[in-house]
Amino acid sequence: MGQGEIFGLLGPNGAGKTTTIRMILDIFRPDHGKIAVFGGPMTEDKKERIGYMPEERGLYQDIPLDRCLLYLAALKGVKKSEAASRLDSWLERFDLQNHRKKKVKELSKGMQQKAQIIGTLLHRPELVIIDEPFTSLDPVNTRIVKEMIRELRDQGATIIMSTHLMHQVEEMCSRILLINMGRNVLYGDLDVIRKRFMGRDILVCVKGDLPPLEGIQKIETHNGAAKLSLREGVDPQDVLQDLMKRNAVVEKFEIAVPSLDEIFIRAVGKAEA
Amino acid sequence: MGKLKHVLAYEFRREAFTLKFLIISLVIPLMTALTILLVSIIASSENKNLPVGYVDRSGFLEGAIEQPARGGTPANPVTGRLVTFLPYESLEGARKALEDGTIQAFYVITPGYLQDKKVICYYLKHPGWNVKNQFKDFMQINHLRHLPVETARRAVSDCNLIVRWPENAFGLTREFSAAGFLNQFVPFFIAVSFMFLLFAGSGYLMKAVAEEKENRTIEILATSLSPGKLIGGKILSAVCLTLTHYFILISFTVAVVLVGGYVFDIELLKRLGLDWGVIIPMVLLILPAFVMMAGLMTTVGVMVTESQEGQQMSMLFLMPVMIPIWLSFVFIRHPDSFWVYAMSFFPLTAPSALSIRMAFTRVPIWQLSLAIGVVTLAALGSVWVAGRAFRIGMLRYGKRLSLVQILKGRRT
Repeated sequence: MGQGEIFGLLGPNGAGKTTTIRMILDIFRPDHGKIAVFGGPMTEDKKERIGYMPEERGLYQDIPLDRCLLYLAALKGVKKSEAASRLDSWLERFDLQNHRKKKVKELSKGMQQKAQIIGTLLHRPELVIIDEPFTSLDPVNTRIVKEMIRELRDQGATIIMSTHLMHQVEEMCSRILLINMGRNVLYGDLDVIRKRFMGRDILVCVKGDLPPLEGIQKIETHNGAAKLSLREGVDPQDVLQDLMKRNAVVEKFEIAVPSLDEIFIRAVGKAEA
Repeated sequence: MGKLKHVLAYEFRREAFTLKFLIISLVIPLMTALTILLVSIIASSENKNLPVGYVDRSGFLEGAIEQPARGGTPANPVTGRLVTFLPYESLEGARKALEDGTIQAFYVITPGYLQDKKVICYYLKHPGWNVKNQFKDFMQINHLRHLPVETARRAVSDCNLIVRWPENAFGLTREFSAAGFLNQFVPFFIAVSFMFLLFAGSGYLMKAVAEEKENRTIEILATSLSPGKLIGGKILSAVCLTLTHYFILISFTVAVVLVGGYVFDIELLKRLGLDWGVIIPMVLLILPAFVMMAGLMTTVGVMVTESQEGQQMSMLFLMPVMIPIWLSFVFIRHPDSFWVYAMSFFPLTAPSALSIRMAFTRVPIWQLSLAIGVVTLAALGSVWVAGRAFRIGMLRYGKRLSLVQILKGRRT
């Protein structure tokens, strides 16, 4: 992974995403192979440069929110005064300032989720690993978290995001790794992957009825447009020329890009086959 | 070291600054103080130190001398003061003094006393047993007043039997004195307080580990510091919490002894002392026992899903520690029986069994060394199992871990 990118770690349930993350963080040791973090094996100092929000959210339930977050920051090597000042701005940003003295267990699930994010970022990590970051968040807070992740990226942090929400990955990530049963299924730039999975489909919208066209295998309706699946050897340009010949008034002509959901299903299905 | 310090401070603060901690710290001292106070009140109400009169119609007490303290034991168990016996010329005079409240009772020594030893006691409210005992001493010593006073006093006083053991391997000896009989119980109380330390410390550790699992915080902590620092901080915190309890307990006990002994003049408390010949071997035994229990409680904390469940499961290990205390009378009466020996060398019962034996009997040095060795080995074993359990089970949120899984080393 390169510095300053948002990287998507994807895979079906039980694929090994959490295990991979735990190996990166030196919680588990791999049976074989090596893992390099910041150019070498994991050390205690390097742990201070990493922020991790696990899928199993964890905060001390019986103590006030601010004490819990300051303790977690102290374990990441942040001085108390520094942590306290950073905490103020984070609580303000997430609208938790009035709840700072409440016990964690008294907070709603969404508030706890926001608190967890603060705990992950309070020490200003260079590498952030977040597992399902948008769980339990309402649309407003989802937007805040998205903005915050982009902000972190712009500041030079690297973010590994593990999620099942493909549209979030499409929106946020520049590169992805899709794993299944502990193996690499798909890896690379999202745009390149999309192109690789681009099929022979086009989306067409014409005034009136679509005239009969040559070289079309199947026609489906897709968001008010006709999705045409082209036969082998037929070029989209040929279809456009055919439409022109038939004096069709073309309102939309677009080469269909596969969604990440489709890519995911196809890649995993192919790997399992 | 910095992160270990943070864990230590956090864990200590979380437990120590609570009402529950204060109550646990003060419950034993307050109960002790309350018991002493109640005993004092009852004894004071029963045993008054007002003078007692006598009317001597036999002439036996002419030129009477004061009664001695009994065998060095105070005449009054609370104040240690002797009752004064005042002579009265007539029955009327004594009766008037009794009604005035000048005296609490008076005796009439009948004219034929030297033949029939008959004495009559008059009172408005039944005097305490101190009056009866001291009057007996008073009469006895006056039977011997033809002897030099000191000789007579010594003859009447009970003997104070002192038993001393030869020096042990540590160059320390023990002494049992009839006059300071309470001293014999001091090592027992110390042994019980050590058990309290063991219970409290291991309980705190179990809770600290189980709550990490319950709160699902372990994965975050594992990416912040090493397991060694995490567990090290928790163990140190448990030790500090326990020592705080102990400090409060000891301070209070010392205060009670000093105030009772030197303010309220309670002779028994003045005579209390520490027996290092017992305390040092106890400490040598308790230290590895503490490590052993720490390991066991960490394992329990990892195995369970909630700290409450852990407290129940920890009783499996804490109950055997208690058995010798419950059976202390067997240890005192049959110190050489098979079961006493067996419990002395079983790791979970050895700390309390040996502590009680050392308090009341002499334990051969080889037995003590063997017990310390067994407990030390058990401590090493429990730390090994705890490390294994921690590695395997801490991420099993909401799932119990079985002993078989720990020993087989299965993670899921």
